[in-house]
Amino acid sequence: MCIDCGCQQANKVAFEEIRREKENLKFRKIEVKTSILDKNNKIAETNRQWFLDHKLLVFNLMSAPGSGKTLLLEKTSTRLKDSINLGILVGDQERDFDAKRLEAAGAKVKQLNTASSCHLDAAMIRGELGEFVKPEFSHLIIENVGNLVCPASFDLGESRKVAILSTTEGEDKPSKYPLLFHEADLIVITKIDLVQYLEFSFATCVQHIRGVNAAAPILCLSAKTGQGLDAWLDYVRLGSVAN
Amino acid sequence: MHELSLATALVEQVAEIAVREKFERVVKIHLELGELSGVDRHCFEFCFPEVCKGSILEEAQLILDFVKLGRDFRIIDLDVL
Repeated sequence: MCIDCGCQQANKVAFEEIRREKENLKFRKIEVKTSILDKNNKIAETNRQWFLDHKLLVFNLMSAPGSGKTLLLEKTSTRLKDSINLGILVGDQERDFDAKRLEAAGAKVKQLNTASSCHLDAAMIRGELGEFVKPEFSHLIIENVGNLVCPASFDLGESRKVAILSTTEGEDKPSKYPLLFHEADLIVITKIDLVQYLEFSFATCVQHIRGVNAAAPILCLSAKTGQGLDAWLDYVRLGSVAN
Repeated sequence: MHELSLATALVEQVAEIAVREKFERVVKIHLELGELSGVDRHCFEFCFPEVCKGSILEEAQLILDFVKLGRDFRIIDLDVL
């Protein structure tokens, strides 16, 4: 080989081809084409079947921390405990404050701690089926870890995904965290009693919601004052918005 | 934030495929990452090598195809030995 006539370049190309051919002989290509969440999705499907077999209506409540999920569940539990057989699973990274609050409100509740994880996954729910989650329950509400990002990606096998947004968070959260609001079957705006102290426009908020979710019903309520709560209670009972 | 869980799930999934398809090492892993999958690319790329340490993916080259408006985060194919 010399540096003048181009034979070096030609050899380089030839060597590269030989190297690739050798690698092709050694390597095997395996087509996979499955989601990385495949395992979670399969467990979620078995959960969903269990819920169907035992006729449980299951809600996955997702929101930012501090949106008022636990207060809403306290009121829900108190108001519905005579008409439905409700179980509640509450997810947090640490501690059992939520479970204690709900227990005090008379709810059948179990705390799930996710430790390092930022969301509940289908396997955590599977572990409770037939244990805390009794076949005779008619309804199960799962309060996910307060987080507007990760819970959206993990199917738990629920019947309905509910996204909760409080007025204090601002109108634009659905546009900033689109996946969670896009996936929701129902969107609840909480803390409407505080609107008088805030610069919060329902019209603007609805615009942001409709930008990512064209169809989901929107309920506005205050768990504290009870305003709008009846429509939410009907939704829990029926799994759809009452006409 | 859940990229670490996803990287862990990925390693587990590949380990299961390795048993089924009988291979010992992954040379290249080719993934598709959708813009709307809720997965942050940089965060995943940061977690991936850490989670792969000591696994059959330890020396694997990561190829990530970013798909505009895509919803999936999935394995396309693997080059294995």
